[in-house]
Amino acid sequence: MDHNGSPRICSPEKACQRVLKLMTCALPRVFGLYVLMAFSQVSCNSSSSPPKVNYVSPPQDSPKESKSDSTAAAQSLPETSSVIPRPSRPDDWFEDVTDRSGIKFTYRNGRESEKYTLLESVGGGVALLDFDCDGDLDIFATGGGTIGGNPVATAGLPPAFYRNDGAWKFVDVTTEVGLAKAMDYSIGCSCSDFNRDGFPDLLVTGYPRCRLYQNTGRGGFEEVSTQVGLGFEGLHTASAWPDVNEDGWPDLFVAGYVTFDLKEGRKCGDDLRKIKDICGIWQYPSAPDRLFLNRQGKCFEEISQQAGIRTDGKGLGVVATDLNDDGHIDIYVANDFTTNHLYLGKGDATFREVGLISGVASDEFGVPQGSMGVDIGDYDGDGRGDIFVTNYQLEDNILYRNQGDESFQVRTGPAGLRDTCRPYVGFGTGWVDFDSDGWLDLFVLNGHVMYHTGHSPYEQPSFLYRNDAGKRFENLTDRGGPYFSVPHVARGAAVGDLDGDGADDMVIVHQNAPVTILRNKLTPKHWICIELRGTKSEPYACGAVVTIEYQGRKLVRQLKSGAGYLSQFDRRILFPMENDEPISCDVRWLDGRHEQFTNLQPQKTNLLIEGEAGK
Amino acid sequence: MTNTSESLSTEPIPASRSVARLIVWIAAILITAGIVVVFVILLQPSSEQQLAQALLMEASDPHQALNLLDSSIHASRGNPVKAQLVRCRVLLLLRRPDEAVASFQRIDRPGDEPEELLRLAHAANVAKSFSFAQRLFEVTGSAALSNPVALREWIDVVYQQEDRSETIRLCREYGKLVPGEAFPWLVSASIHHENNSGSLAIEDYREALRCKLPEAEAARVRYQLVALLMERGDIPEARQHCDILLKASVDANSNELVALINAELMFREGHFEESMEIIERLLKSNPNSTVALMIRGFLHFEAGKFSAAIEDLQTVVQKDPYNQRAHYKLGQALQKTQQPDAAAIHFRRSEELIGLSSEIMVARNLLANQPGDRTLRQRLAELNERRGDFREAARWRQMINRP
Repeated sequence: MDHNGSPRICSPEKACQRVLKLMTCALPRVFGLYVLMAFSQVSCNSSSSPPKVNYVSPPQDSPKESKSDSTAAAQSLPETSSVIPRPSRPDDWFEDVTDRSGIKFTYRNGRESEKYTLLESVGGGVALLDFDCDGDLDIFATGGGTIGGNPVATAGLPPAFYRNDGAWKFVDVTTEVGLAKAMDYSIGCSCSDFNRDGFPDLLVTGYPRCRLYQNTGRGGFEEVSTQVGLGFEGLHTASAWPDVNEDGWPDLFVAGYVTFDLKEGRKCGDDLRKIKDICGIWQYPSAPDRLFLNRQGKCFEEISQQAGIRTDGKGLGVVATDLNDDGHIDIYVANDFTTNHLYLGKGDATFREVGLISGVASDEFGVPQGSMGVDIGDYDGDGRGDIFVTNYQLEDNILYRNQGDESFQVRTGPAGLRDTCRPYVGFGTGWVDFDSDGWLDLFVLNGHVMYHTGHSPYEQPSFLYRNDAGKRFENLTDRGGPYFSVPHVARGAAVGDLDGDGADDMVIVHQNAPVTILRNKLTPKHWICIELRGTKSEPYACGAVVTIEYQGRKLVRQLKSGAGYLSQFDRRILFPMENDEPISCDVRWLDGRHEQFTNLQPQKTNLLIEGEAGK
Repeated sequence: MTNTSESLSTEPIPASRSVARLIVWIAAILITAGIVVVFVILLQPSSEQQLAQALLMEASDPHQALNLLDSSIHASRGNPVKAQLVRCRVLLLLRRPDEAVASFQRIDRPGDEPEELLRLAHAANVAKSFSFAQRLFEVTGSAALSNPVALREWIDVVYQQEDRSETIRLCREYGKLVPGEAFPWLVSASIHHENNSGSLAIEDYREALRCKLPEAEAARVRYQLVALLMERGDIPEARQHCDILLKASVDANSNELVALINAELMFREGHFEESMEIIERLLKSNPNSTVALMIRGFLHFEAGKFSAAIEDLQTVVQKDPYNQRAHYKLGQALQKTQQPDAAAIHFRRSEELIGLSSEIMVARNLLANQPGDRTLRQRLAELNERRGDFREAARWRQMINRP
């Protein structure tokens, strides 16, 4: 408020006096938000006392061995929660079905090497995709990696791929689908049908390389990164597949995080407490985001510069859809420590970056936040996509309400989303109608990035908010179930209907702790699932808008690519229904054309193909 | 017999007797001289007496005291640590700090006299030989750490030496030694606040408020805490403290400031009408308050009255061109009224001011690892100047040439 700055002091006695005199001179400034990560650097190139290295060799052949290795290592880590979850209750929204699902997998960040690299803070992601087109969702989770050796290097750990056999039985088919071979140090994932063959393909981001796996259509994947020109290097995190030049082929946007040299051996910590830890993000320069044009599924051509993609962000979250309803794909990038970017597409693979002027670059006072996860959804029923971003500790997560004129208003406080998550570091998030009332609810997963030196614990609680008719969000964490009763170090999460009951379930990835599967217990009585397939548009119809009537109001859902944190949600849309009568819905495809699809059948997935309404 | 005596008196003295007499005389002289010497020796002040005398004279006649101390050290049979330490102190009194430091370096086991060492450290602090004083306190170690007066002075010394992390460490020690005293918490809070380490400052202000403080002082500390909490966006806790402040009426000026901060809190809480009421009242009594104008600008913006917001915020940025928040909201208001070029100017300024804060933070953290780097101090002075924090800029300028 008073911008004379903090009064200065010349002795500790005067320091006291300064405080006591403050009524006349000191009022808050708004610049202190990044200092939380300002831990003094304790050693650079510390060759004099090399840290203990427990280099875990990445298993090359047997994913099962790798899992047992990683599980053993995870058990030795001090951060494993010792808090016992509360017993489940009948009114819980979620049931933890991890044990009975047969899914036993842990994302490993390489912490055991005690290298304290920035890489360890990022975490992993999960994708829900129907890889074999049998109608149910299979699960892919990134594996992370190990860090060690001299000079320091990373090695990837194998991911996990589970086939959904129904009735909450998942079978580990990592080897069978050809993904057992260790990748690079893997981080995030996303899906698209980049070659338009009808089968979902898989992109895995990481360090130093990202890898594209083409679905062979014969129950497996083949890596094609180099063949299609995706041999770029760096630390890349989130990704999305928007069709930016509107040629019907999904293009690829990959968020770059920071530029860093693993060999540098940078460590930070707290001098007073003599603790080593991961260095603050501010110490690293930004890595550029990358946009690649998909040349008819044969190769990708980087067009970042021509497209107007900025190079000054530290990207962790990406979501793409048509935010201003102009018929062109827009891309929102959640950046850590730097301003968030909103690229409004022009349809010709070029963009206007309007984050600052549209009010979505920072908090309501223009101060950039440490943003991680992001999602877009119409929370207030006005038909426009609103943005929700999870942020670093002591920063509120932010709800940006879309005002329809390419501007957004921060509504965090009025929506009741201020304060509850403030002490925590937010990652995975998403707009999901968990209770099938037609209003999009929210989940926020937390977990610190610093092992010791954060101002809140490494393991942190997750939150669940119920949308109260688009006006306010009610903190319903207590009814989330046992999972929500204990802290975790959560990162990516994906949402989709894993058991085909019309209610969205969740898969959550943690740092060095097993993946959790949460079954949504709020099975709706009547529901409908809609899957779009673009013909003129790209196959997953990113940017299309589906509208149905429900209880006298219109439920509008945007099809998006990216979203959440490092993960791929199910791209199908679930709607609640009033009864079992067939319904119709309106689809506005990306180019603005509307199609009315009628006679849609309840309690099942309806495939709506572009241009085939009424056929 | 008579004859004999006559013969004795008349006969010449034999040589042997003369020698004997001479010997007696010499012996007598020697004895007398010896006695004199012994007396002289006995009457001369001892090393301890000289030291005691020097102590008595150090303030009135430091030169004489120095001579006595030299004699004392010279005369001392054992390790004259105390005299040597006092000598250092007298040298400081005589404004010869370099000699004092050199003299101190020659002392064997200075820690044998902890009390004297503390006095010397005090003298070094008074003489503004802060690095020497810091060294002395460090040598004193536990003696200083267990003595509240000395520890407080040590804190003063390390603070003067700009050693902020050591100041905080010592403040923690002081807090343990004298629990319930607000002094160490206020010092460390102030350092954290200065370093933009808001959350740490908040913790320390909270601790200070747990200590006994006079009501008016507690109100001021609480005010600081509210301001910081609001700056950090912790609205619920800021509200709690603000409500306490609203009940505690300190003085008119303070009440106005509390009302101002209450208005901003109301705004942040979404109570726009209540906030506007307070602001309008404050602006009646003080129409030039930039803070009140800024909040009113924000309130107009929230109400969609963009022209009114622009008017208020333009006044604010004219009066305070370094007000980042006002620039940002003004940019937004101008954008809303289809003035993108004008908006861009204020958005840029807002970004520039935020960028400067980030750069300052980075430079300060680099400086923490390279405390002797004068280029970084110069940079901090420049960055603070560009951000409009001229007091901080001046502080860094003063420090550029310090070792």
